[in-house]
Amino acid sequence: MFRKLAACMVMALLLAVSALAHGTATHFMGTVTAVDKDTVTIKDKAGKSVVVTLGKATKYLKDKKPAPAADLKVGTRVVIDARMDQKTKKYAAEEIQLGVVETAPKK
Amino acid sequence: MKKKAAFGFLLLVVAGVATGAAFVLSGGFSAREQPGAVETFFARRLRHLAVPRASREAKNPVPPTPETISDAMEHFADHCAFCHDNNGSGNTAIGQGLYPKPPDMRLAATQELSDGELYYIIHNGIRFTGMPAFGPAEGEDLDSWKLVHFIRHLPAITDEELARMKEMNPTSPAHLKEEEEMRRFLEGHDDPPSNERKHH
Repeated sequence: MFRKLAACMVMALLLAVSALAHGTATHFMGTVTAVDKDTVTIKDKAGKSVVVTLGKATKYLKDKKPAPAADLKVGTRVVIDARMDQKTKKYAAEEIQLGVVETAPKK
Repeated sequence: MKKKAAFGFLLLVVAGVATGAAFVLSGGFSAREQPGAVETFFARRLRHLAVPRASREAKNPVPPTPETISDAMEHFADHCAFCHDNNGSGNTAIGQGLYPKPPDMRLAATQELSDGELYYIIHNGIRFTGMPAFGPAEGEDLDSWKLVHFIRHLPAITDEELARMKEMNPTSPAHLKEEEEMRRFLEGHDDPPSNERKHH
């Protein structure tokens, strides 16, 4: 009981703190239009092109299970959890959830 | 003589105010900074000394079975991961906003602490940091001892375990809705409601 109460209080405090903080983590949803060793480019719903860098730490998931990086192909629907690299000012992918592959990427 | 003393006192006051102003103006109250090497050294020494010897040398009464690790993993995902991250790296929005930042618990600075020290920290918290006391005021709690085993397991945690933990993390209705929208998008439905979401 005490533990739950303590956890709730901590959670409330931390949520209040986080509401004030400027988080830099971002989700991108879109369809892959290009991919190479270091970057993936997606086209989002608004048709905007977004480039996200890939790294050794990038994790790939399909149906919530680890998947090979090779599954990231042009036409794949993805949700990318990225974080702004303060040095390069580019988004770096932390986790990429892979979805269905569209036969032709949406223009 | 009195004039010299008054002048010296005034000089000290001016120096104190100037130092204080420089501290504040240079972001002295910001939690964004990392503690310096000297502060880290003394803080760790003080923490070590603050743990009673008997507590430091205490042995974990809970056997490290798969059930223990599984219980602790669930507990960690629910109570600890929002600061420490599921993998113990401390790389969360909240964790990185704290001063001091949560340590990467996979590394030696944490792994070299004794079981008793780890238990003491979880049970009693650490004053002037974001680490609260999770144990009851009196008596031993086995959940914290189980967490000690899980912390030992962190350097070897697998992607499968991390994926399981992600499902155990606390979540809000808004986050659940967002997850559902993402799931539908990944499955090929054509109603992605937005393209980019900042989350804190």
